[in-house]
Amino acid sequence: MELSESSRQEIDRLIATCRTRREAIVQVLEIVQRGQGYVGDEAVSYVANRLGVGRADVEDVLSFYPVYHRRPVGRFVVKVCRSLPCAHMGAARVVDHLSERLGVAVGQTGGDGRFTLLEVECLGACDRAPAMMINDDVFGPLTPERIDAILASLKDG
Amino acid sequence: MSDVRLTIDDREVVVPEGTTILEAARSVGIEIPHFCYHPGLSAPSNCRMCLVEVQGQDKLVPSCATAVADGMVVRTGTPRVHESHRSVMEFYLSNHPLDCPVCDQAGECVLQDYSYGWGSATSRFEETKVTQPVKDVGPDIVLYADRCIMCTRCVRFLREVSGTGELSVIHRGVRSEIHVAGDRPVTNPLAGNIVDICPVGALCSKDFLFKCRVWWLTSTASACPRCARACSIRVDSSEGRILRIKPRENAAVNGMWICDEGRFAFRQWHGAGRLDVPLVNGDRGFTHCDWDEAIALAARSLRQVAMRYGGESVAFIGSPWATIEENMLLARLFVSLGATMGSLWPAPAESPQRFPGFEISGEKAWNVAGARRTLMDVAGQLLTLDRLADEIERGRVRAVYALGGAYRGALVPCDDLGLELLEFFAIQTCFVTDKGLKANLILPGASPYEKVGTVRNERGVLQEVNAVMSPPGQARRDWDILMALAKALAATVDDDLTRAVLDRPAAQWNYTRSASGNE
Amino acid sequence: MELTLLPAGTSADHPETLDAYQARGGYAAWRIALGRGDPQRVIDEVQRSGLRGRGGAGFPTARKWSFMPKDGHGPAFVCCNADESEPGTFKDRRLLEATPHQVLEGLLLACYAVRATCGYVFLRWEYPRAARAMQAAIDEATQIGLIGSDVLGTGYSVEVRLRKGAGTYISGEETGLLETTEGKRGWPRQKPPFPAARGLFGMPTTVNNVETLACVPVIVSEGGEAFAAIGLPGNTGPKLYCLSGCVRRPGLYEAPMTVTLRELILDDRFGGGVADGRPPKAVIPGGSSAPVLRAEEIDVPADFDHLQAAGSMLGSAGVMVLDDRTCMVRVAANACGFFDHESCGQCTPCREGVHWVRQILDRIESGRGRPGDADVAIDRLDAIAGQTICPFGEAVAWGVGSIIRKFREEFDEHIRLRGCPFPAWGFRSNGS
Repeated sequence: MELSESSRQEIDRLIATCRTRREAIVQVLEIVQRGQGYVGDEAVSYVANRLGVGRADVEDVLSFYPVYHRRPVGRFVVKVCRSLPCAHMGAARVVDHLSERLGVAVGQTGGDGRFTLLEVECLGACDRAPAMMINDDVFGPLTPERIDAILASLKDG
Repeated sequence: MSDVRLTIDDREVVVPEGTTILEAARSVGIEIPHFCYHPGLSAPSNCRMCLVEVQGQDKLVPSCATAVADGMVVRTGTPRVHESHRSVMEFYLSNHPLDCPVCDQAGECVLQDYSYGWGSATSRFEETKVTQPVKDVGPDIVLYADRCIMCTRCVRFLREVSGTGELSVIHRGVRSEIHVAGDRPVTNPLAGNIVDICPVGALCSKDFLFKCRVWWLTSTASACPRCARACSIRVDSSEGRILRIKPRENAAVNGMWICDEGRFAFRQWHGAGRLDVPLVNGDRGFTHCDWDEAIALAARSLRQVAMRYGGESVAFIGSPWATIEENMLLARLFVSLGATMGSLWPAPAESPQRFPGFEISGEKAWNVAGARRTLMDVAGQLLTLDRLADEIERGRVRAVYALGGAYRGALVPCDDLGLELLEFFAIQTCFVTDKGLKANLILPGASPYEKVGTVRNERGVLQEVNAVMSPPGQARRDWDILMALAKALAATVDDDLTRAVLDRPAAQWNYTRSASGNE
Repeated sequence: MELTLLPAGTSADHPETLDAYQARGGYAAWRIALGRGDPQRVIDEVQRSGLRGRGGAGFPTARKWSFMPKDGHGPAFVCCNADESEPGTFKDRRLLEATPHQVLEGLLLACYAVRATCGYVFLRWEYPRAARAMQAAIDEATQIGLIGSDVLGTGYSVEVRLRKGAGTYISGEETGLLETTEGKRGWPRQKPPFPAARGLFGMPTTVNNVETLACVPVIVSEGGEAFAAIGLPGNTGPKLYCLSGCVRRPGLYEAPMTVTLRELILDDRFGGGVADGRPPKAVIPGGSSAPVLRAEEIDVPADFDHLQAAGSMLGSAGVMVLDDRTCMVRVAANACGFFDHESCGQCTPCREGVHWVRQILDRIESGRGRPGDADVAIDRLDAIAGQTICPFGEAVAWGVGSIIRKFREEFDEHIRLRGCPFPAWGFRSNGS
């Protein structure tokens, strides 16, 4: 597992602020995923060893929290909010439109590894419904035209 | 800790501070239904079956996680409480496969039992049940995840008692499931307990699976012969065959658990190689003989040695696998013949295994303490096997009579004993392989599961053991063999002793009282 | 310091800097409180302000703080609950992204008030900008000695740590938050013991919402009376409202709690009317957990007490407006779907019941409903309320249950018609 030096340092700094070994699990997994895009089996072992906890503890946490990806995802992870305000304002159409434009079904990653399309619960952007999040950025209110423009503006790398 | 006085269902209850409502109710015989609560584990109160009414509280409270308070008024049987039980049962059964006809747990299933009280004959659930796979959990454990009610007893046991943590809950919501973490199977020495504590048919023992409906089982209370802890067990058998062994709760001995070695120890005494006929060692090696012949030979040989060299030239060896009564009868019989030297087979020694909530003794026989003390009491002294070998080598011991009864392959520490120098050596034992002992006479005895008597564990606790089955073939209980020998020797066996053994429970006999001053 | 949570010149686009915050009076309250040297005076001031928790339950903040042990010697904690995840709610995001120092100062004051040794900001994963803003604020404040050991030479030491959630609604429940912060699955704890007795890492802990904490610096610097002068007794102070759904101008608005739901929706200072000029059908006033109100019930002040009296609750003040073309069966199914997805699965009624009801509602909406389905759904929801470890059970039972009860005719109609008579939810503009 290739974890960058900066991720390792971030993990070390974090652990220094933790009161128990377990405490760091959720946070360290976030750092791992931010660095690698996902948390693979090797990463699970790494985290378990680094924190001195069991693999079971790590898997337990991983499976409970939906933000972690257990497999590689696209460079752009597109999360469409499906909770009430967004659903009401057309979230299902947003998903359809994205799915068609990206050639990717919900829950899947495209063959070129660029996009992963996901439906998620409330993003806290209800005033911009229907909304979506691409990596760290929130977009909304979405229309088909706006979605196309956003997709066109995404830059790899 | 001070006492707390409360009322449960109009009954005054006094319990120590910190007791939960559920336990307080239990102490006066009021059983509050529950799934996740287990007295040996932490209480997550996740099943919500044990909710009861507490005066002054709006909501029902989980009795397993609510401590009693002075003056508390608890009601466990109000319409509201029953409605809550019915509701929880309906939630459970909505997603349950209801496959009792093919489920091993049927007959001893908490879900099934409660459904008689709070279930409904018809289902309002018209939706799709969440299906879950059958999972291999360990060498002897399989998980029928469909039947799992997510009480997490197994997960908590493995975290809190064995400390091995192989199982965890993964996912969440209705898709939560028990998971074999890191694909590390549950192989720890206490694993079998998770099958016992599973309140439904989710975790099953592969060994017992589909072998027998539980209502055909005969349960016998006994103690586990596997180690010096002598855990309290319940032996479930059918038609004279042991089908499974479960722990019995005994705070002084094993708490609530047993180890897997003990759980399957019966296999070490049963099956291939069991001695089922007396064997006499003659010119043509070992040959079968009948009991009259065997007992007569033993009596004649022992009497001859005693007459020729004096009674003290006859020695006896007791056994940590034999009961207190058997060891006592052996010692008294030989002391009455004039014997002064006795010894005790050592139990195989291993390292003890310690877990956060359990300990397995390293001494691999149930009655080490009981045998040693009994023999000492009667004979006044006990020789080590080395000392006995010395006495044999010097010609001061010419005949030895021994109790054996070890599990398969365990009784072999006698290469240096010089048995070949003896004029007569006889042993009551279980396995043909014990022929290696170069005895003149091998008498087929009983396994621990075929005995009646008393054992004393390493902590000094006396427990009754009970016979689950008869010894195979012509094999006999060791007590009976010794009595036959006594009769043939025309020795008088202490009436007290005989009566005490016949008037069980032996745990209360006078031996206990007379010996108690020694510690 | 201005008595507002949305000060002029602040914007979610740029987190307010330390300098800008101090320029408008920021950290004056912190210096005042430390200067007075008496934590109880912070509690007293907040007591006078009448501040009630802004997270959903509306519990009086000063009272909550007073549960913390006064004579504790070991570690004690305050957790800032920034796990805002209730559908319809986005107020805390704005506070964290625009005015992180104000939230942080509130957290420090809360820590001091309850003699905590460490404050934790528990922030949801989906707010990375807020996380960056808050971390920067913590770093800045630490640099100038407002956080750390022996703050400003007063002998009081406090640390602040940022922790991120991982995408679960239940981590916003008080004890679910504690479990997640401890690095475990966010399974709520059976109470008692309450967090003030045994909280984070088994130590006394208070959990406060972001907006609640953002009010505290204003209260301490301007005085509790000034805060209490806004609104009515029991419902004091400026309040943030999240307006979403079919309104012309969805967004975050601040108003005294005397404002009515109708004003929030129709007044030009707020929502500016229902989108497309249609009549409203229903309003959910406090996030998905709050019982729905019918259009004729919205002439009610959007405060804790009036909304409760109206059979609903202020909750997270996530006001969702639904117009006359909205299918309430679909609304119920969507809300229940959310709860089904977010149920932690720990206790039986919620784990089994929410999924059951969700399937019933999905069936009714898709035209496969049967007579009696709505009754079973209501019965099962009622069997969840009051029976679970945490308030999630009530949230789903009250929120979803109210929709079925108040719009029963639509459920029956779906079953009769074997289908949904309302238009599908397509792209909609707010028509502003």
